[in-house]
Amino acid sequence: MNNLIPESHINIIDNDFNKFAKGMEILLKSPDFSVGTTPSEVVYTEDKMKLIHYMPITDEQYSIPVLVIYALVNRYYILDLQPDKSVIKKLLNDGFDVYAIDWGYPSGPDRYLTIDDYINGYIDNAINDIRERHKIDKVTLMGVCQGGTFSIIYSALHPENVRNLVTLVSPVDFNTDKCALNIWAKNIDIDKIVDYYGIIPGDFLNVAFLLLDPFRLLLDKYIGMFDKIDCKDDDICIRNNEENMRNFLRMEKWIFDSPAQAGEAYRQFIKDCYQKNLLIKNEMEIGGKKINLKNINVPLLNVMAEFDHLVPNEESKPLLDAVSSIDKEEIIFPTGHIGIFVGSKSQKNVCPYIAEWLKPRSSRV
Amino acid sequence: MDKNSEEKLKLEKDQLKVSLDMTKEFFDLWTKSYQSTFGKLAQVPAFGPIREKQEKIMKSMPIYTDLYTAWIESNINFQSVFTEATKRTYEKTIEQWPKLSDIKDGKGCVDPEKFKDLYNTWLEAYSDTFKEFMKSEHFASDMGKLTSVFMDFQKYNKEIIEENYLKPNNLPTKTEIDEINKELYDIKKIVKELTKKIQILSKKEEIRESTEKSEELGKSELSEKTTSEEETLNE
Repeated sequence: MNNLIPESHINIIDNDFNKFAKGMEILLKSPDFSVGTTPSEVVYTEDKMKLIHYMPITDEQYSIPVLVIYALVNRYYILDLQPDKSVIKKLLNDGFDVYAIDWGYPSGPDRYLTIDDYINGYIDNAINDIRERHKIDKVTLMGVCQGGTFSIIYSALHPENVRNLVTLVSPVDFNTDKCALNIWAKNIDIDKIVDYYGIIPGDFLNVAFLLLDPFRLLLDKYIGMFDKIDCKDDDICIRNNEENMRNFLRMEKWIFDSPAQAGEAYRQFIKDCYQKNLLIKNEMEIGGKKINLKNINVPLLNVMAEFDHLVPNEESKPLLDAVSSIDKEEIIFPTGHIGIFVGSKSQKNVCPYIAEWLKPRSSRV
Repeated sequence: MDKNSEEKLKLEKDQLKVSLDMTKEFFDLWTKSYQSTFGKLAQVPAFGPIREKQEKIMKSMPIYTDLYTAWIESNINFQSVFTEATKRTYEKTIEQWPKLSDIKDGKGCVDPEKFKDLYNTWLEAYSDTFKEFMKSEHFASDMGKLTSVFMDFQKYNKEIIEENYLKPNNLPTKTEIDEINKELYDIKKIVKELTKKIQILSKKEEIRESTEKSEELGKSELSEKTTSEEETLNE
């Protein structure tokens, strides 16, 4: 056989088989890929919602705590996915007191929850709990993706409770054709979907996300996982391979651990935001009140990702002009929608930037 | 790419287009024929003791045909995108390696690294073509239509199962569970509002009580002070 195929070619094929075998070897050991490992406690619960308080790790903390609000479609541990790449840990290290909302998995009567229930109910109650706990008037809100949109809405309705607003890859102007999701959302009959499902299954949304780039997300990603394996047998390589595989599995878990959506809230979000684009026009109503973005007068940091395929920058950029804050800033990092939370650039650049921006704005007035 | 390959590629593309167009044409014709014949029959009002059930069952026909039509149209679209993606892969491959000898080494063996390059070419062509398609209004409108008729179909199925199986067997239906869920949601909302109001009232009461106490304390302190001052003065 060696006469037919040159040795150099056999080495290449052999190397690829080895990568696959070593990858499988790691998987067969059922590696532990725990997520959200930063020590925390649940300090407040309401229905399925939990308010999580991360244990401070510095002797002294800034007096204004940070509340992280996630998208309803995401689990809360995206900012704490890996112990070595945790935005939460970074904030704790920098002396912030950090809280986060875990939305849980909606079911049963949750199908009737509206955006009003989320904003003026859960978020408001969580903020009030933190305010009472710390004997302060205001907290810092840090919203992620749709959670950012919710933070913006909350800040417009209750500016008196917000000290700073940080939005990460958050849409506010939905009138774009750069992302397929926006085009699809305009063409779906959301009433029929909500009326039938009630609680929109997480998989329904996952299919939509996967359709954005099916060949890379359903095939190439998994080939790439094995391709990254280093075939050397020294301890460092083995450890790196195991860690890479664990990180891959953590991301897989987060992506497919998708909570269902409360039907009524989903209906309003699709109709008012994606189909009618009411938020940026100051025409969206929550609990009978119009949301006027000009009511937002708090310090604002709008963080975007240059290669965001889910929330293109043009969806986030109009926020700065829409608010009346004087102290406002936007920054775009050369990364993607998910990379901004978990990429190595995130740890090196994004987290420190946010922390440094927050520090002078987080002591008690 | 040489002239022959170009012509061959064009011919293949034209053949596929004709084939897809014919499929669509045939299906359009079938749909029109159905709607003007059996479709009309399905709309005829039913009568007799089982008219209600029969009418509901007859309603299924247009729902099934709508779903089938939307599904076939989506399939045709996806097929044409696959065709376009394959064509692009072919064009790119020919462009990269115009001759078969380009992928072989000096000994006449195919270099394994070239397979990886080929995979990347395939991936890029397929990924870009599908992304383009997914972002088109055409796909969005098709997907919207398919989702909509699929929801009609699911809703109809649910109704038929509830009417003809669950209710006669005295089993709870999703509709009934939804009604209970709605009531539960409303009750929860009222309880939360009342709890908030009670909390506010309790706080107000606490403040009132503490103000009263401090006022009383102030008064008694004042009267004690006045008495002691009077005593001092008398002394």
